[in-house]
Amino acid sequence: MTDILAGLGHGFSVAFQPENLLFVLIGVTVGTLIGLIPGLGPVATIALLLPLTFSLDPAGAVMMLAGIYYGSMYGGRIPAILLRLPGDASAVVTTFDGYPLAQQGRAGPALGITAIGSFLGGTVAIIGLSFLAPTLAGVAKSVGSPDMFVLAAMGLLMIVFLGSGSKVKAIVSAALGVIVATVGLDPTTADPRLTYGSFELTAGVSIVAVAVGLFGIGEILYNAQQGFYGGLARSAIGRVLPTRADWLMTRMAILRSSIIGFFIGIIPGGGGTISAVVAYGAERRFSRHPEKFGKGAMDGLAATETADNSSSNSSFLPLLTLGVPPNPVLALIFGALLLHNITPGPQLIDEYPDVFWGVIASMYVGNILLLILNLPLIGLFVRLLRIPGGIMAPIILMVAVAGVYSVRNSMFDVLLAVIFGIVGYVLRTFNFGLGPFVLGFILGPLLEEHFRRSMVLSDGSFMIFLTRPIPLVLMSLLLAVIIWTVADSRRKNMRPTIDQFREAERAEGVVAESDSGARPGSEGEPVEEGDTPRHPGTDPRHDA
Amino acid sequence: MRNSQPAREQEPLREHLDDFEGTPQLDEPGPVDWWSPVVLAALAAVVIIPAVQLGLGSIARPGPGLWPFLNAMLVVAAIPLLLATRHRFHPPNRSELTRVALVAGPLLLFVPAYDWLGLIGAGAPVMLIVARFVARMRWRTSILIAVIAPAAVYALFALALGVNLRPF
Repeated sequence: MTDILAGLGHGFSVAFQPENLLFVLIGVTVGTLIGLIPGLGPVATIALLLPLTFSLDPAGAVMMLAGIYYGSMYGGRIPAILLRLPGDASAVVTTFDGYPLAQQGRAGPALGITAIGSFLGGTVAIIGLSFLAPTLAGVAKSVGSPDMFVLAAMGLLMIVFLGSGSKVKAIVSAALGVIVATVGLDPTTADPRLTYGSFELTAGVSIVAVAVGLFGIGEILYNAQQGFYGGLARSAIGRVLPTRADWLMTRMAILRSSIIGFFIGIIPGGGGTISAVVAYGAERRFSRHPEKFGKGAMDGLAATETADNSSSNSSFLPLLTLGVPPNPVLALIFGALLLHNITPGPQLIDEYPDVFWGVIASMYVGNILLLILNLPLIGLFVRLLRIPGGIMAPIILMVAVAGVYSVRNSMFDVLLAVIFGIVGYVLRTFNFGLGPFVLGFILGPLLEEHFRRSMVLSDGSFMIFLTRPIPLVLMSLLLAVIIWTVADSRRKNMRPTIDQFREAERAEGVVAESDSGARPGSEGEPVEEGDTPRHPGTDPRHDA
Repeated sequence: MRNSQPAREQEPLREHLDDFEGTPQLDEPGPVDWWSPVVLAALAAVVIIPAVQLGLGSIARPGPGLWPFLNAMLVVAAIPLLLATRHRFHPPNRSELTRVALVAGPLLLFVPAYDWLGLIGAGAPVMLIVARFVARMRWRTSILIAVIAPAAVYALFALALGVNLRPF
């Protein structure tokens, strides 16, 4: 306990250094701003800004990236509520009640309560992180190569099995990511692998080129296909602070969702989306008015956003202590540390206490800054939504190109980024997840290193993975998830009629509510949309 | 059209999440995806052949080719499963593809053009094409974006961050 408090004290001394405070402020502001851009989620945001952190010191770089991450979570809720344009999957759940509330003229309180919920959820998660991380890092120090291999493989497979959609395609995507990571020199023999005679490829494929390509350029290509959003026509949101009734209705939802989000966030693959869905579902059960869910339930909205932010903060736990990123965003932050020659893992707390404790302490600071930014300054952010996507897209492309170039002063990397952008667009079109790809790319070298070492240690016997307690426990967990996934998918297949009936019942409610048009509310005029502010898949009219 | 798509309206959560996570919508109208297995088979081949040439070694003493080989075999193993499940996909129409090409094409050309024209010189035409013909902004706005965006990015990266970029 004393060690933890001493560590936190050291962390605050790092986080309160003026330049680090500035990096946190820049991170959360930029994160909120870019999270605002519909269709551009936290992964794309981090990917685009990853190169900018290359010239910073490691602690400042990760503080800024972490700030961008949870800042974009805050920012992402704004277009989700006002325009029904979620920046990422977890914000989709925010649209369910956020958009109906905006339609009812309650956009302000909806934004206010989600800011407060996000702050409280984030704070609960950071407190949990502060006290659990050192303990877990201590345990993880006894982890050997076979354990690390199973841990990393399990992290990757959990993301595959916990994601929605085709597991086969997710595995293929992850395998492709691992294969791309093998391009370059063999780590043991230094033989060039999969370079096809290219001198540039012997240096390997840059994480920045892959990340910016897949998530930045690929996203712009996908948005170009669907048509850019047109911008918010009017941005009056009225009173932001929630009423006493709103607070009383949501306070328990916020508390429950903070805890749900924290625990789901630390599970590999469990990040924002699952925590948002689980918290929403749980709150629907707890709510006294479950029939309001999907039609503007303030407690449902608060639960979603609270869990989302709580999980985004707690997801740093496996990265900082085990060196295993639990989701694509953390994989990119893992990549940022690698760019600074720091390998995250159990040794981080001892070898780089500035990074370990500094990042944790900066989260407290960043969370407070975000609350300030998102309550009094929310109107300013909302006004920025008036900028059409057509103006943002070329600027983002230019930043992406210059950012990739800046890391190694290499136009070849820019070419690779454009190629990976096209690859990302194609993968999305054919419904292959990009998350498993980037995680495969990041975890690939780690997997290979520990696999080869384990095989040498065991003289080629796979029993090495079955005779140690940590891999056994992890594999049992993975098996349980696989069985649950298969059983769940069978259950869904066997009960389509009931599910469809329930969904139809809810959808009718939402459609009826939306069709009734904007109704002026007591606390502000309803927010209006611009000409084409739609994201594919978020609007039934998309198919029209 | 809205009424002709009841299945998509009835499953908002699943559909929306799928759209973000790049997952199949099995009930979505569209052709069966035969492309993926074919392309994956070709990709696996271009990995397996050099991996074998590099040397697989043995399990006890893995060679440099073993790891890419194993992962490529994982892709190969997935191909029959993809064929069996007959996933459908939503192919973009011609105008959608044109918009994508109008972004990707100029970007690809930007790379060789940079050596001749620098960041602003090569970036401005790309921005102009994207703003005018893809985002359909007015000419005036498009020209402003084409001039200001590369110049601002140059100022940020070259002047503020000290990146070695040529303006022209």
